[in-house]
Amino acid sequence: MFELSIACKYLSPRRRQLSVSIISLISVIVIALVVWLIVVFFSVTNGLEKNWIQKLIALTAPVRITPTEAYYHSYYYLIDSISDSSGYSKKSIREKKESVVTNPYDPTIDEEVPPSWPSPDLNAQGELKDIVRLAYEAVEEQSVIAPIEPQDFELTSTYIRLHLLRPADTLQNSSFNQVSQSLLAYPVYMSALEKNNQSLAQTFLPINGTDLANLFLLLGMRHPIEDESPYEAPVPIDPSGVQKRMNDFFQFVQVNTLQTTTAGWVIPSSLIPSQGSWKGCAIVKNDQITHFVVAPSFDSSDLQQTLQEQGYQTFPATLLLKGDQYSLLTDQKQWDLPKKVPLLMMGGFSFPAHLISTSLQEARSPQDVRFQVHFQLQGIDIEGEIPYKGVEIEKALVQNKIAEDSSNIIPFWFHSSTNRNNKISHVLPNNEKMGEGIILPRSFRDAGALLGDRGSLTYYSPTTSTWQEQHIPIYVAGFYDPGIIPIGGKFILASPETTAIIRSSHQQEEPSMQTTGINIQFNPLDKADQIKKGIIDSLKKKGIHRYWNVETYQEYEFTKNIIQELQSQKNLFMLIAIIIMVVACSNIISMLIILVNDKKREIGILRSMGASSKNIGLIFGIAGTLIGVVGSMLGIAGAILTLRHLDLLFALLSRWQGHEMFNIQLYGQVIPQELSIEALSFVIIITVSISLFAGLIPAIKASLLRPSQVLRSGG
Amino acid sequence: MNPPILEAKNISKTFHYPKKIQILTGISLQIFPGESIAIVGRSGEGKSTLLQILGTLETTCSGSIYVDAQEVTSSNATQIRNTKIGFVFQDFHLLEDYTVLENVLMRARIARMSIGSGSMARKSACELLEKVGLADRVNYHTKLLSGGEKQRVALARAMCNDPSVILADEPSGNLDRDTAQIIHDLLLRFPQEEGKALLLVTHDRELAKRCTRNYELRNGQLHPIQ
Repeated sequence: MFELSIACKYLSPRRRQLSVSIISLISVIVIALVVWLIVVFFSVTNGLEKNWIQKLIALTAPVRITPTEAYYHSYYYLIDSISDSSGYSKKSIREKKESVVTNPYDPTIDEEVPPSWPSPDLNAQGELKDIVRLAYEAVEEQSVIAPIEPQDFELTSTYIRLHLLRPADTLQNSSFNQVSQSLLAYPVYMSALEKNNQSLAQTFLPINGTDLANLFLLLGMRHPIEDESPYEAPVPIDPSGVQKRMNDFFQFVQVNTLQTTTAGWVIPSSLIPSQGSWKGCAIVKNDQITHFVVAPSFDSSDLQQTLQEQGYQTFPATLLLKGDQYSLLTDQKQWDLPKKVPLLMMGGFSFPAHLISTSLQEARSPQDVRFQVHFQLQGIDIEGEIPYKGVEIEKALVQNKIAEDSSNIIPFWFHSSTNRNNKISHVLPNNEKMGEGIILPRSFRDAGALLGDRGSLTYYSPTTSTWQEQHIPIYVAGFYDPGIIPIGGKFILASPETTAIIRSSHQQEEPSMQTTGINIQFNPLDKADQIKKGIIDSLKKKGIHRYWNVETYQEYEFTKNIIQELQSQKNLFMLIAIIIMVVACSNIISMLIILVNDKKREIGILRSMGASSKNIGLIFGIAGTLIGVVGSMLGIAGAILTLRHLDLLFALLSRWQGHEMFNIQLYGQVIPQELSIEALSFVIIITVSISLFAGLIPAIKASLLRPSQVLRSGG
Repeated sequence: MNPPILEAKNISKTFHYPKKIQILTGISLQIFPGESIAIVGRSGEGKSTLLQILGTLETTCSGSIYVDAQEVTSSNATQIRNTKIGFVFQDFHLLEDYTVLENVLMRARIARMSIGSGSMARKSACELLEKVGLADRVNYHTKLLSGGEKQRVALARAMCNDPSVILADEPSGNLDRDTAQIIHDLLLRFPQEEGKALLLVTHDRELAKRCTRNYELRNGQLHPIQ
């Protein structure tokens, strides 16, 4: 194609056409920058949107079916309330699905059906239509579109209380002898954990050392509810119970690193060498040196400042270890201490440690468990056994996937279990002594809750004369990230049984709350509309569509606004991107007009050789597009490079603006770095079409040049 | 008798800017195979305009042009120009960013012919360059050539695609006498050897004399010179 080769020739830098070369270089740079910006921005925002939607769907489903008012007023739903075989209570969706008989009403023993009730909806055989089972059938029929997993859900509200027991944050309090207690109490929404919902797993927050440390310490504590006196000091449970719990705990946890607690760690005398010296600070009380705090490194200036901020009277010194005698050395003098003072380390000093399993058999409390440690402190080798006192777990390998039938022991936290058919299901632990495991949203962790914290869920159950407050003991078995769902911060997950108990205590059904229904999980998401339509058609065919409301994730009451907002923001940026791109590409017009003027003679020559005006137009059109394409390629390459090193860029920007670039609450822990194909195609289409359009005006100008005029040479 | 290669029937041309001026008035002309025609005349009489009209680079106000008995219309003008007409200009009009061979092959490229090594087009371009004595300058950039060499490249280029007629506008106007002589010989050999036609516009009476027919353009009309 000679047009392409001529266009390339025109664009290649030449001294004779310096102005054209400079302008085309600027055009390429500007386009590359704009393309870079658009691709990076769109990739990140698309990734975020994808994450948000995934989290949203993890908690709900891409499509869900909820009963309408017609369902709650139907004979099918109401009949259980007057039927003896149903225990005179209305049934949930799950109960309806599992019930053996569709119509439990027995006219011989049950009271008469009130005349105000609608007549039963009968099928062709004259039997009552099983609205729930038919709905499940309608859902199953859609498996031809994508593999489908329907699961009923229940949503209810309750009141959660969590007792946060923490060791007091003062130096030398290295156990639970002194504790601080606080209470977290919130009204919350509660949903049953769908054990087969695979996408749920990706929203769970990993268990960290602080979580494990808290859970481990609390293993030795009685549940506050058991005593009904939560504001008093917690009572340790009997040693045999503790031992079993600790054994179970270490079945799934392999401790690698311990760290000293903020309360400080008294270095056991067995670990202190007989010779050597440590820098640190001596603490003075009533003119007596009571402790010596060893600095984690040779520099003790930070340590002195911290101690002084905590109100201690202190001075920096070097401790000389001389067998049975300690000496202190300062700038001015050296003197022997009258007796050996305890040697302390402040919080946050970590060192490798491994559990001594045999110590579990003798341990009567978590503090009795012993660890083998080996580390260096200011160049001095420390090796030996230490009890779990003044230290806490910092890093550990946590097992959260187990085989279903491997043993009777299960972890204390939320985990997944694999059965013989390799099917993974989520498991919420339930401990007789500790209560029901529940999963809390990230907001609770931010408020201070940790794994293992105990508490209760409150509900009211009717008695013959009044409502009685009931408590279900619970403990925190995990945290999840609800993303940006407005009610996400108040959405807890519990076992279906617990949810059913609490939900049944609420008498009034509120169809608008969507408290119950069927979640339909499937992949990929873009089949949502197709599946929704399929279900509606099938429900219509079965004549039960008025009982059900079918919605996709884009239509849920609590997500609609966010999804629309995301879409609006994306559209707005897309508009801005197009405007920036038009401005960037306008350079191409000026460059090409200059080029046409420069190349008038050549245009005439080509025309004299039989090139048509179309050929000439094409040459300049291609030149414009080439600039766009080269600019885009450079921009895309830059964007790919940037996305690979996004962390670096954000760290730089965060430092520049003085605070975190992205709020973890909103955007999650990991900023997406995947190149968005959508962004890429958008940028390529926009750049090519705008640069083609920009090339069009000069191309028309060139094609309209009359060869006779430009070639005239007198005569 | 063979049909004419190029035929102009009653063509007129009027320019309206900067003032209305009728430059050609009802010109008719036939050029037959093997003929060379020279058109002479004073500057400004419209010789180049006539040449460009005959070469389909300029449109007429009235009248019609036929090339190989095919009437030139706006839709076939470029194709006829590409395949049947070759131009030689006083200012050479070579593409300076290209080599000698690339210049010669440009017509073939425009005709979407294959120009790769071993192709017919490349072979014939090399033959043409040999014919004009530039076989050793094939890969030279045209800006490095002398005036005479440039005009010989232009001549080879005009002969590429095997045209029926070559239109030359003052082909030796910018050349010294000896070089001009070489160009004239090459030009005049084209109708004689190939059985094609040559139409040239020139001030050079001697060159005109060597052509089979001579015309003088005066007052917008062609007057035969005996």
